[in-house]
Amino acid sequence: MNKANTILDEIHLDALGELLNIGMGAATASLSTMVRQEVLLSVPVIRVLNQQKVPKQLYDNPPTTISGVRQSFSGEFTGSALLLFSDENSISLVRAVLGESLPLAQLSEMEEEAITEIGNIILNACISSLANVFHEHLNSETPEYLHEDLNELFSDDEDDDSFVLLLKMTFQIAKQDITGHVTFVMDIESITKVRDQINTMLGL
Amino acid sequence: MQKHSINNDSSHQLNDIFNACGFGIIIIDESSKILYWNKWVSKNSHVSLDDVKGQRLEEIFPILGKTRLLQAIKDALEHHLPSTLSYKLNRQMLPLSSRNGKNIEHNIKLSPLKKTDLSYHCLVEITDISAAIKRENQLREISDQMRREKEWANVTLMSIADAVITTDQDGSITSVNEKAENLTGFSRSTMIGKFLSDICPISNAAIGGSPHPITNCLENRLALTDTDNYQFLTADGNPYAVNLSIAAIIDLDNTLLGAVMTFRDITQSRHISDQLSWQAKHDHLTGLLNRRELETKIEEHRLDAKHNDNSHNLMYIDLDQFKIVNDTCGHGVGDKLLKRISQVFQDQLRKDDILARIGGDEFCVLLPMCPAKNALSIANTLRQATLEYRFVHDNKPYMLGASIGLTAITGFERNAAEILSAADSACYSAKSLGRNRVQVHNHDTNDEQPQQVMQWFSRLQSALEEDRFILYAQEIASIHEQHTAHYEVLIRMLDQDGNIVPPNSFIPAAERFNLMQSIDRWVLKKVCQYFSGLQKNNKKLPVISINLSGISVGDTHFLEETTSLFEEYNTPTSYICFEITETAAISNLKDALTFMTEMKKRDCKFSLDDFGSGLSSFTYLKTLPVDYLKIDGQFVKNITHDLVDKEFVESIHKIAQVMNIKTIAEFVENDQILNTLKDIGIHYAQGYGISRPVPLDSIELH
Repeated sequence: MNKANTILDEIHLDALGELLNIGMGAATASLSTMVRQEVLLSVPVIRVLNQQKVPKQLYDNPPTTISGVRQSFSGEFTGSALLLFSDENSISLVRAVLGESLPLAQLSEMEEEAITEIGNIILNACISSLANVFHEHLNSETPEYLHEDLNELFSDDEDDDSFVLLLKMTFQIAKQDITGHVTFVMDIESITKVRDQINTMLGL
Repeated sequence: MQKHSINNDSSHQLNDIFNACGFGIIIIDESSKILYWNKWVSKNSHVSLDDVKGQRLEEIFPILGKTRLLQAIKDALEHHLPSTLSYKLNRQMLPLSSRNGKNIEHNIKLSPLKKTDLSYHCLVEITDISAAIKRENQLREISDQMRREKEWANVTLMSIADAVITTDQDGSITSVNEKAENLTGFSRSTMIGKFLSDICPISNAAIGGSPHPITNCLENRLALTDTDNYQFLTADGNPYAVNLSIAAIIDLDNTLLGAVMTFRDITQSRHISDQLSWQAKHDHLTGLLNRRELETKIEEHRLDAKHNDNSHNLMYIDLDQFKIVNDTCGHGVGDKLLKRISQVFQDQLRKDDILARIGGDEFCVLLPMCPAKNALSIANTLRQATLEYRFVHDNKPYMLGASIGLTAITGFERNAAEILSAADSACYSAKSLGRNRVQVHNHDTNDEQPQQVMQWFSRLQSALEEDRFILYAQEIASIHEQHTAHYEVLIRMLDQDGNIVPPNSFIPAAERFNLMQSIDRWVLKKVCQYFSGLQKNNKKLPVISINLSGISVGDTHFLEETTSLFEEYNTPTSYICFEITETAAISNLKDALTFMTEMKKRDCKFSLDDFGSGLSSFTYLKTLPVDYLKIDGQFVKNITHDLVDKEFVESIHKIAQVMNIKTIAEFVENDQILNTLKDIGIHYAQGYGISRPVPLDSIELH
């Protein structure tokens, strides 16, 4: 945590939050259109922290498995953007978006695709807002649906570089009580580059 | 440059590869124009690449204006962002159909393809997902159907009035309904996964050591239907009886899947049936066994005696004096007395002795594993306890007696009825011999006894018809002075051979068979005729005492008959003295008073018989217009050496004196007694010591 804090100080975090908020704003607008309901966006919380601590940071009672979408990117920064839901919420989300009243116990292939698309919209918005502002090219891979053990998702083999730029941004589809989190997982090098870009942008 | 690259050799090969692909490939150039699409797209859009190259996608498919696809292409080209367009969120983006005209449902993926640092192409991949959709629809249909079935099963399960529990093949609970929760006292969440045999443990009280029905069901695939044999314990450990059915659930291929058990609480109904069966076996008033159940027990012991040579005894008890209490104090009080006396009996008995009430005031005690000697002693204890017991009602104590018949259960009897009847006849003998005694049944006369009792009816009837009775007379002598001769007439029966039968053999039978009134009438008529004869011969007339039964005294018809007899024979009624027992008078006090009053008008005398043996109530004495008190012989015969008896006789005499009633002592067997009586001041004496009964016709009158 100390190490992380030395990388990004308050001013970087604020700036980053502002940037991502813009991207998320656009994304939630699309999401709102899809679910035909108001989507509320929380104030983003940005932290840099050890990967293993992510589950506790995201949930008071971390669920065992988690559903979501991963979109990896490379270029100036390397990492992946994740949109995460609890399993129940992923089903509720499909229900909200597709208007299906009787969901299956688990997501079907089609429903996984739909979730992937939703994740794609949100994550594209975040990634592009980062890229736009930094005038950097990011090569983004196609999004993939994930359903994994939460702890495994955030355990890293390379222990010292295993830091996460956690953008904890919660969006809520009001009527459904669906909460999702967006996180960026980047290595120290990428985070350092992000810091440098922010410094450049802010003329520091 | 890049355009051209598709035309070289390796491009040809690439083209072949693309065309061989089972999915659609479209490449859009940086100015959003179609650069390439593969054969899959041509085939399913029915548009060839040559016709579209260089055109925008939306020019070929105007429908795309309304979809997200164009935006996604723009994102890829301008922002270099990949996109996924799912079928669910973007129905039918491209108008693709197979040759048979069927729409091809598809997902689209877009990826930016870097051409130069500044320009990007866009790769569009189109995947046919028709098959996946079909799969999903089937899955959805099946899942809906299962959900409905489960719902249906659940609702059915919940609405069933019986508790239902299903288990897997190991006996672990898989489902329960609400009734099962109520009955077992466990919540659904507690029960699921537990062994049924733990949730519904067999109460030991029901069947010890027998396996749980679930075990049998799963191991042997045995079904039970509608059985009442089990009792389970609730969560709190309370037993409840159940009616249960259990069956194994077996697959089509004969695999055991589990079991289903339905059950309901029958504790209440079992309680009712227990109660009914209790009631069927017990006397509702005293709670003792009833006659039927006693017979069952006797039969059990008869068989035990027969096979195991054990010795059992049966006691038959008839309460003396009960009728008085019942008639004078009311049935309610009589019932109370019966309850109390059952307790008195019970207190004297051993733990295993079986006390039963078999009739109004008749009880039986079955004495298992009891030698005859002990049985006799128990019987005497009971008799004594009865005698000592005082039943108090309205501040008045009532004395009771017990006539007890005792018989051994030898095992040689034919059935329980024979044993009961032997005890009954012994009891009957006890009564005949003067009550308050124990009579042991004599097995040597085994065959005669029961029939003997029954035969009395016809014997008495024929004796009455054939006039085979004779009157004896016993003198009632004045102790102090000469007086008018006074005799008590005593009836004797003559059997068919002319032998004399003593009254204690047939009077109880006459009482039992309601023939007392006929006998009384016969005696009265004889006495009237006797007086008539004396008068014709101008003989001196004696006073004649006639015993009257309670039945006769209380019957108005008998009063009429007596009156007409007196008139017919012109009887000197002042020489007639009626002896009635205290019991007879009191049992039917009102009618007895009517009779006495009527007879008093004719100057008849009255003597209260057996005074001291029954209620000995002087209160009644005051209301009855009696002239003589006849002190019970039981007190007289020991008067010379029993101070209590003497005291008793004295006090009776004193009170009688005060009331101006003359006293007569019975059982005066010798001069010592006579002298004692004389000292006390008793007026009259009767007994063998004075004179023995002689035929009435033979008495000499001066």
